[in-house]
Formats: sequence, C-alpha cells, structure tokens
Amino acid sequence: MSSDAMDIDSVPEAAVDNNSNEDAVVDKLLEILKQVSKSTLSMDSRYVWKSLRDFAALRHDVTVENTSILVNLVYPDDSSYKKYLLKTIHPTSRPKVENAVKFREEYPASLYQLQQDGTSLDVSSEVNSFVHYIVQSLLLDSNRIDELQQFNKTHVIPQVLKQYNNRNLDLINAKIWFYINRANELTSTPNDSSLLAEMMQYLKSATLKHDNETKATLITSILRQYLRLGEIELAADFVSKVEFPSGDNVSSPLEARYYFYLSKIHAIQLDYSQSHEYVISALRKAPHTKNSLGFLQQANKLQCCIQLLMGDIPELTFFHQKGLEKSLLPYYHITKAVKLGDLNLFTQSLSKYKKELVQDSNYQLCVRLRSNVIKTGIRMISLTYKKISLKDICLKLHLDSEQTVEYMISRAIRDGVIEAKINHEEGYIETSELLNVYSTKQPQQVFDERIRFVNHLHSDYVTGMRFPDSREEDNSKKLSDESLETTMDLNSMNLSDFDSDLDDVI
Amino acid sequence: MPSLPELTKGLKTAFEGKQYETCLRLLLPIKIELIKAKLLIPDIKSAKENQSYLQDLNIAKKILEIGALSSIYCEDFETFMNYYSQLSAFYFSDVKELSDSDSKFKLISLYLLILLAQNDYTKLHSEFEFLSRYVTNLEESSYLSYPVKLERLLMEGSYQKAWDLLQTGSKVEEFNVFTKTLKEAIREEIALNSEQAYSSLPLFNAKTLLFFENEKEMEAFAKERDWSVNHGVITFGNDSTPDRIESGDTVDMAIDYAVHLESIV
Repeated sequence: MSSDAMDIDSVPEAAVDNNSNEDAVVDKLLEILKQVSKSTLSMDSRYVWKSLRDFAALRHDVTVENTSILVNLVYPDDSSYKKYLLKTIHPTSRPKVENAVKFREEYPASLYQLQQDGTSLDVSSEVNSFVHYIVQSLLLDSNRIDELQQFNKTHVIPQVLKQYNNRNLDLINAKIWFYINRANELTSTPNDSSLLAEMMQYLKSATLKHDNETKATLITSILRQYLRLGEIELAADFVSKVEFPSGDNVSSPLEARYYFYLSKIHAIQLDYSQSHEYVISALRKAPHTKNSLGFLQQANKLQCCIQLLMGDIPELTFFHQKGLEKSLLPYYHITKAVKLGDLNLFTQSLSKYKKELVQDSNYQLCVRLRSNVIKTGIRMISLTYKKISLKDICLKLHLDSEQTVEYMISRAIRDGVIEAKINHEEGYIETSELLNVYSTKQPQQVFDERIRFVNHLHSDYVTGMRFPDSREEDNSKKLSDESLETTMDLNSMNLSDFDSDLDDVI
Repeated sequence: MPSLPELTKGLKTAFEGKQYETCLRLLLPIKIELIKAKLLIPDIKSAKENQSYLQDLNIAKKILEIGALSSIYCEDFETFMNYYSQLSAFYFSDVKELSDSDSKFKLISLYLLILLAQNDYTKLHSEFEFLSRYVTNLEESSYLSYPVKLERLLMEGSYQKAWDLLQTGSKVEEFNVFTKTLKEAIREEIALNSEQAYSSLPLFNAKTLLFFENEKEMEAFAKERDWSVNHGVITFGNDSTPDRIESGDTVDMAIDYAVHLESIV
C-alpha cells in the first residue's frame, strides 16, 4: 500500500513522521486479517492460531489511529458495524481514508460475505470478530476500562458472540471472552453476578459445540469469579460438575490457569497433597517468559504455602529464583519461622506481612501454618531422636504441659507427620522403624507410571504429526513449512494475556 | 388467615417469653406470607430503589433471625442451617442497610460453631475464606474470635486448652448450647488420635486423656469404639502389613514394556 493513499484528515501535521510507521502497522494488521480469512476457505483453524500469535507480537504497536484506519479500510461504508466501532475507538474524531473503496476492491473476496438479506456485503464473521478483538485489546491496553465494559455489553456480546455460529471463530471467541471477563472484573462490584449468568449460558453452548478453547476460557473465568467472591464451596461444586477439555485440545496457558485455581480450591479445603499436585502442574504448563511472570509469582507463592502446610520446607534456592526474589520475601520469612519452629517469630512475621498476604489471598492459608510450626518442631525432634521423653519435648518446644505435648504428638502421628508410638506409662515416644520403601510396591508403581506417561507422549506425537498432501506436490512444500511453524507455535500461544491478567490473580 | 403484622407480633412475644418451640411453629405461616410479599429472598435491585421495600426487608431479616436463634435453643441445627442460608442473602448483599444487623456476627459465629461441631473442616475453612473478604480481622471480632480460637486450638491439638475454654463457657449464652456437642467432638478427635498413637493404654490414663469422670464411663466409651479391654488395659489393633511385590505383576509389566518398545523401534 502506498503512503499517498493514507492521507488522514484528523491526524495533525506534526504526526506526519509517524505516518509511515502507522502505515506499516496497518499493513501488518491487514496481513493478519487476510490470514484470518484464509481459514474461511480452508476451514483450517490453524490460520486463526497463527493470526492470534502474530497479533500478540504486534499488540503494543496498536494505536487509536491505526485501528481506526483499519476499520475504515476494511468495513464497507454501509456496514452496520463500522459506525459504532469507529465511535468506540475514538468518540469524537473521524479519520477519513480516501480511496478506501478502491482498496477494498483489491482485498480478497474471502474477507467479505453476503448478508442475510442477500443484497449487501459485509465483512466475514471471522474478520469481524477479529477486529472486535483488536478493539478490545486496544481499550484494555490504553486503560479505557469503562468504555471497554460498555463496548462489551452493548456490542460484543449481543452482536458478535451471539450472532455467529461458525467453528472457525472458536479461538477468537475464547480471546474475546477473556477480555469481557477482565473488563467486568475491573469495573463492577463483586456482587454483580449478571455476567456470571451470561458466561454459564455461553459455556453451555460452547460445550455443545465442542468449542474447547472457549469452554476452557469460560471455565477459568467462572472459577476466577467465584474465588474472587470467596465462594469456595460453589467453585468446588462447579469443578465437580464441569469437564475441563483435556490435553491437546486446549492451549497450555489456559490449562495452567485452571490447575492454579484447582490448587487454590483444594488448598482451602485442606486437601494439600492434591493441591500440591495441581500447583506443580500449573507451574509446568505455564510458559516461563517475561510476560507470564505475574502468574509464576502467584503460583510460586501458593506452592510455598502448600509445601509448608504439608510439613515440607522449600529449599533456599526456591526463594532465589530469577524475578521472584522480591515477591517471595514475605513467604521467605514465614518459612524461616516455620523451619525454626519458633512461634513468636512466626506471629511476628505474620502480622508484619499481613497486607501482602491478604493481597495474595493467602493469609488464611498462612494462619493455618501455626499448627505446622509446632508440627515441624515435633518432626525435627522425632527425626533426631529415636526415643525421647515427653518432658524433654515440652521443654524444647516451650509448651506449657506434658499433656498438651501428648495430645499434639498423637495428633501429629494421626496426620502422618511422624511415624512413632507413644508409651504413656513411661512417658516417652519412640520412633518406629523406618519403612524400607524398596520392599513395597511403591517404586515399581511410580516407575510404571512414568513409562506409561512416556509411551503416551510418544503415541500422541505420532498421531499429532501432519504430512503434506501428496497430490499437491508443489504447493505442499510451502504449506508444510507454514503448518509446521503453526503447530510448533501452538504451545507458545496466549502468552500475551498473562501479564495483563495474572499480576492480580485472586 | 391472620395477617403478617399480627403473626409477627405473636412471634415477638413468644420469643421474648423464651417459648422457642412456639416460635418455630409460628414461623411456618409467617414464611409463607413472606414469600407472598416477595420478602423471603431479597430483590437487591428494587431494595436499592424502593425505601419502603427496604424497610419491609429489614423486618423480614429480623423475623428470620428470630427463627435462627429459636432453632439454636431447640437444638434443631438443620433448621438453623436453612435460616442461615436465607439470612446470608441479606448479610452479604451490597446494600448497607440490609447487611448491617446486631445479631449478624453472632449468627455467623453460631454457624461456624455448628460446622466445627460437625467436624466439617472443609466447609469451615471455605467459610473462613469467604468471611475474610468481608471482615478484615477475624481474630479480633468479639463474636467471631470464639469459633476461630476454638478451631485453632483443635487444629494444633491443644485439646486441654480447648476443653478449658468450653468448660468456662462464653458470655454469649447461645454459644454454650454447643458445649456438649463440641466436647463430644473433642473426645472423638482424641480417640481417633489415640488409636494411631498408642499400641496400648491403661484404662486409668485413658480416662484422664479423654476427660472422663470415672473409669466406668471410659470403659463404656471403649466398648462403643470396639477397643479391646483386658485387665484394665486398652489395646489398639492397628498393624497393617505393606503389600509385597508380586512376581506375576512384574512379568506382566515387563512384557507390556517390550511390546511398546517394539512398536517404537
């Protein structure tokens, strides 16, 4: 596209220098839209994947100006969407693009489709949804949250999400829902449940359509909403009722988020071992990049709490991970107190860092650690001594009576913190012989599990491979490169959303 | 059919006269009237707009509170749970006039105590998490601190302190309704712990551990739990042998791996 076609009325003279830059962005956006429209012809949603990824890279270059040029160019003048889109992008200014009609005529036909009345042309559903998505991200990035909320309510939900029924849209819809939820979270009061009902309804139809990506986004959004309200019971019920799309059908960042919420729910419901498994999977599934740092921080914090609650002490290196050091500081101090078995120090650090902990909504979990401080103390003693009198324990842990110690130890035995027996008459505890795990089935089971996992991975890869079509020998070369790239990119998808979202995960 | 104000008046006199059974009986027709007037489940939107509706809702809230307290006195916890879930729609709404109430924290604490007495820790902790969004200092609120403290003592295993706390009782008389159930819950906990922690325990010592007055009561309790008592000593049979490796399984697995390996190579 030559630059003389890009004379823009509203852009002031000083901005002329920027024009070429703006043009380049518009060009790139157009390329993305063309790519999106390819999926209309090929019915292959991988093009949408790729477009979303390309857009993520371009996201910070999107401005009010170039978006409005884009809308002006792409949408026909009589399109019902054009007017409100332009108005949303910028309420007052009206950039005009000359020769827009001429440019439109050069665009591939797949960008457009016939309207229902059969006479007028409008942009195709894929392109239209994608443009709405661009506008959403523009509004969020420029912090126009109220406008975004308004835009979502009046236009996106009724006119885009509910109108089209097209499988190629699944991936875009997932993104759109993410922004709707985010905007709602930032603007409305927690008690407003109108969007929740809307999401539930759409979840139902997404499930029926096997639209996994949207389904996964909605499930995580709904869980997030519940956790924000503190409705743990509801969240747990919800999890037991829905089926999260598994494995290869959904992008891994979404899975990571889902596991994170599951972990939180289980931790609050005192099911620590399950919770620990989930938080580990969340950390493994999450992309480890700069953009996902917020998520990693939250997940690591949660992991630290869970480990402590299970009676494990995280290693020192855990607190010195790159980029996490500062945010893990409160947890470091708490861990230190638990490790030393020092109740006073624990109470001190708890009150000192209360604000941070409440903000991470891990405070209630940390309060529970109180009993763990004692338990860790007991555990240390039990590991060190084979046989020790109750009185000595009482002195070591600064507890007030032998009877209290006896109760606490019996509790610790029941919780599996230590393996020991109390001899009441003579007033001592004796650590049981350590069970040799290699005489049990356990190692074999774990080994078996791993081998199965590897086998499964292998067969997944075999079925997941794509081969070029032999009939189109020439075309295929180019296409296969592209598709290979696309498939490989799947895993790195969605990164861009992490930073906007997970910094303030509840 | 008498009208709502008349019924409410009757309810109030019955409650003040401490006739709690009568209260519960009176509440049935009242609730039906409330449903008819659309007051049982608050419509938050119209409450914000309509002053008189808001006042009616406040009366409805008071009625439900009376119902909840009466059911506590009658030790009918299931009914209390029903009232509480209806009340929580009022307590946790975003209309200030509705969510404020003199008995609010008392009733929440009672609810927590019931959960504690029923040993339902999952729900209890979910509830703590939920409440922490509305109340910043759970430990320092005059009513809520009681269940919170009790829970903490029980979690730690400081049963003696918990027992003492129950023994001295609380200023709030409704809380003392739970003393008996909670004591039983504590005993239950200790019994479960003991099964794991001791291989044998003299009856005399068990008596002190479980806060029984005399050995007879202790023996009856032991019988209930199927503990074997011989010559004044309780023995707990709890030895479980770890599973051994079966050679058959190992062979099966090895063959399975071989088959998979073959398909890869």
